[in-house]
Amino acid sequence: MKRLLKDYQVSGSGVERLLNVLEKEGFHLQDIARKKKQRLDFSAPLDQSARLEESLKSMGFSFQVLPARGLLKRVVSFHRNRFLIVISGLLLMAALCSLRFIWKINITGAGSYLGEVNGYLRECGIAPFVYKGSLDLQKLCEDLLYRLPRVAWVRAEIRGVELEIRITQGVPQPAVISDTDAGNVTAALDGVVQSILVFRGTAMVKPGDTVKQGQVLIAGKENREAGKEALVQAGGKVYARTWRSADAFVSAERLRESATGRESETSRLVTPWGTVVSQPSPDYLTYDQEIRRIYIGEAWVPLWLEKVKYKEIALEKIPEDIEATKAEAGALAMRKLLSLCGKNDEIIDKWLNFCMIEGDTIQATATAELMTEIGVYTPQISN
Amino acid sequence: MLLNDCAAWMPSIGKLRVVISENKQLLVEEHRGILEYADQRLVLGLEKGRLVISGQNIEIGEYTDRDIVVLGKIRSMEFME
Repeated sequence: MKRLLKDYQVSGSGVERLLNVLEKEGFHLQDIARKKKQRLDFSAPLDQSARLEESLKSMGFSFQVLPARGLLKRVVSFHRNRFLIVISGLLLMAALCSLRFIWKINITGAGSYLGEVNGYLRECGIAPFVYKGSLDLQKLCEDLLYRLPRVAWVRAEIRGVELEIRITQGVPQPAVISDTDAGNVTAALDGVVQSILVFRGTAMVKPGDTVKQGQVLIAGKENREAGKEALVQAGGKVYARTWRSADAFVSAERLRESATGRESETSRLVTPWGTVVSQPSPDYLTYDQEIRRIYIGEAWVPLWLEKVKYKEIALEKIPEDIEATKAEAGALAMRKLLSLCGKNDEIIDKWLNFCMIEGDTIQATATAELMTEIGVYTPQISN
Repeated sequence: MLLNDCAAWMPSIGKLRVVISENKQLLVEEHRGILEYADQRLVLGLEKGRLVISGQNIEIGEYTDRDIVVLGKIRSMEFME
């Protein structure tokens, strides 16, 4: 085991004699260095220091105890700061112990079941600052699945000091669509019927009829022999003229920025978590700002000095050419309209309408007349 | 002076030199300080390693920051890493 050593600096003549005498007296001297003719530095065990100092005095040598180093320095430092060290140790132990507890409970996906989930947790005594070892996560998941009938999946896990409960609600089973029951062909859009081709069922409209969305175009029934009526899955193609439109809005003015010449600069002290100190900003209505950030060091948190330069700008409305604006709005509306049309739609005609609305804005409406198939099979739903 | 009395027939070249006269007087040149001196045992630091001198009635005759003369009945001298 390492012995604690005390360092001495001895002055006097006859250092060789001193060393020999000390050695004969049983002192265990180490690291003996002769610095000057009459000066000697050496180390001796701490438990021999009292006797050594008496011997030095009796031999007429002047000595000086050098500052502690090595293990002794750490021991002396500990004795001086033992209060701080003990407190730090207790705080560290408290921090380590607190990690064994849950600090926060996070529930996601519960929706309308949140109240029930919280009630269950209260019943079981699961709350912030509960001991981690007392939690049975599997039982928690099983109980919640049993209590919440429309929940498909529950997962609970501990992440650090947080208990996370994730709930996934079940999706209701869709109604079963029978492929043997009867159904109709109905109109998906409003329009004027141009042609109708029936594969199965009975046509309920003829070319030239105006139909509304949802109206039955081909009924799922057929007349059989002897006046009997059979229910079938209607099938067929119904083409009709329909109309689609799309709007676009483009302003007939644009804003022009111009600098007024007024500028000012402010400074502020910021950390990653926000501004610490800040000078007030100028009362410009509209402005551009340039921010220059200078890293100034750390005082427990990183600090930056931000210099913000404000330049006041004036906004001016400049009228645009009306014809150019109309052309732009028209093109935009037409693009939107064409994106709404299906690839099988036949465009019979298309046109644009313009009007000026509030705020000097041009509204362009693109309308297209299309020939498209509007029939869609609507089954009879069976539960 | 004891240092001058010791045989100096080899010129000093700044390296360790050990001169022993019978077994009663030992000159060590170019040492690196006394690491330990107790219980009739003297450990000198060298440029590379240590020199352990032990015996009976070991005493330091002269000691400078470069050279040392050891007196007494020298029983062993050991070079260690």
